[in-house]
Amino acid sequence: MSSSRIEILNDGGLRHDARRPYELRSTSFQLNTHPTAEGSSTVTQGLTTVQVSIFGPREPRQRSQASHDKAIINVEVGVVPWAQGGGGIKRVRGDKRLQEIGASIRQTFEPVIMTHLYPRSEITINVQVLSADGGILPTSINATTLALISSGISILDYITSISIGLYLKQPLLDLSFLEEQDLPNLIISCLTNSNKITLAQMETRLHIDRFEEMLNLGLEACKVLKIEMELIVKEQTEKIVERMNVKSIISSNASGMNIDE
Amino acid sequence: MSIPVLNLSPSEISYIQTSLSHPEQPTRLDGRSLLESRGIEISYDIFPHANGSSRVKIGNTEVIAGIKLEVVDFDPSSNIKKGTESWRGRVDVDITPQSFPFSQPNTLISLSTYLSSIISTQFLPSINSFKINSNKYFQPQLHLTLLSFDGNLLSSLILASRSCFSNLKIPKIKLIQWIGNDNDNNENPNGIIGKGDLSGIKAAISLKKKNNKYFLSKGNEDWDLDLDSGDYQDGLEYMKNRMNLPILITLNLIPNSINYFIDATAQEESACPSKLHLFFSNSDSNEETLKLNGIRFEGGQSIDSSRIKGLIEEGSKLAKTLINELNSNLPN
Repeated sequence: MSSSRIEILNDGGLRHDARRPYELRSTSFQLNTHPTAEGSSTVTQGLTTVQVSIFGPREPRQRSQASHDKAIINVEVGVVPWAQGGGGIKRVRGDKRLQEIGASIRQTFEPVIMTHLYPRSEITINVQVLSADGGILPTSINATTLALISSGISILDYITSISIGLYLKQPLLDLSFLEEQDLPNLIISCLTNSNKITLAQMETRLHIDRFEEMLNLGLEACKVLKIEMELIVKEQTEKIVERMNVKSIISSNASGMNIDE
Repeated sequence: MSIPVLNLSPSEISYIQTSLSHPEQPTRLDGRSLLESRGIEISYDIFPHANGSSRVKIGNTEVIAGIKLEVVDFDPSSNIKKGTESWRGRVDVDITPQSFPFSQPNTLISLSTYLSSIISTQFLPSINSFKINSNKYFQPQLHLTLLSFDGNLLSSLILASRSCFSNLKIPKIKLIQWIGNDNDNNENPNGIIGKGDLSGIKAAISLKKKNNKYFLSKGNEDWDLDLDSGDYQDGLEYMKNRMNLPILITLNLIPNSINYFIDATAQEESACPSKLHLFFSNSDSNEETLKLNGIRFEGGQSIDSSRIKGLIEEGSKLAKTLINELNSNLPN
């Protein structure tokens, strides 16, 4: 009997989009994609594209919320109506689901941004989802990390995030929309150098024996993403150094300084 | 209600105004001439799920737009006031916080409402109805998202709306049912195929018997999508008259000067808040002259009424160039 539902894993061990179970979707990272923001980035993972713009540190819009010893972080998430198929006139920002995603992003980054360096100020993170095929939260977190780096706000470490699902004892990485709906899934985000986790979110049922395996797999995947992100950041920094002509100035001074990575 | 502007100091404002109003050599901050626009980038089909979509970028002002077609009921014989029919399009503008980072959320919401109502009253009326059958129509629902702002907002939104409708593909329709006359003296009460000439599965299932008469029960349709038709065998076609959709030319006026300029950046808009918005479209009958679809004057500055005619003529020339350029680059 043929069913119209997609096969999560077919006989050849491939998922519905022809990926292997541990294969991540094709990713692209771009920095400085917003013309007026202090820091911005656009991250595409598979068919999910998210653009994050960062404004700050700046005067808080609401003085009452200012904190005397650290910066406050505001996150706002908006989607385009066509983000996940569908379309037409519907709520694009401010609804419960988006507010929850915003709150998760804020909780993920609050321990990582060095807020004590920016007292009495506000950092605003605006997330715009341009197309979604599963993994809005992981992609938004990855994009926010890059946007923070692009804006020059001090952070402790790269935060990368991934979703992990489980299909009959086989964990799957980087879920698409169809897989997210059908499988128990776990979203984690971690500080890649120190292996600490700042977000672990799961809203489905999962057997406790499987949890550790999935968690470790997710940590490995986060490290891989971090390596890719770092390549882009270094490439961008090299361009800036070149434009500033810093290399030639330093080499013309016989000071023996090396440009450190 | 006006668009949030940057706070410029009096000397900045004076610097911009005196450069722009110079009688012989007016200069702008980025070296353009007064009637020169920044480069316009338009791309189509950016949302595959939408019936039509586009992205417009004028300088650093970026707008993305999409249309979804919904099926609505409309009874042509009812006395609905023209302009409020249910098949008229709906529009919603989303002003993202990253486009106006210094504004409160309330300002953004009221700006969204204000812009949606302008587009609804000045642009949508020129869209004709998309009829399916006698009482069903396709209603276009247009949604615009402003991703970043650097001046010339309303023009960009109208241009994005126009591009989106240029890219809109309407599904072709075929009728699959015809019900004959409901005569009382037709004697064939048995059998599903009773009165009239019915074809199509939908029609056959729909026929019910009540009080010795056959009738079409609610919820069934007598029309269906006509896939595999058309030039590209996909059952879609572009809307008619997409070359005659309106565009907007905004003439920015300079206080105490007869000069005016187009495509202001955010700084120039802050220094010269008065604007004359002119909506133009191609005329169906006359190839040479354009039709003027609407005028809005905002900013608080008053101008000599004798200037209006000259401004409209100048605006019309600029509009003609833009419309010709757009029409020669429509998606096909």
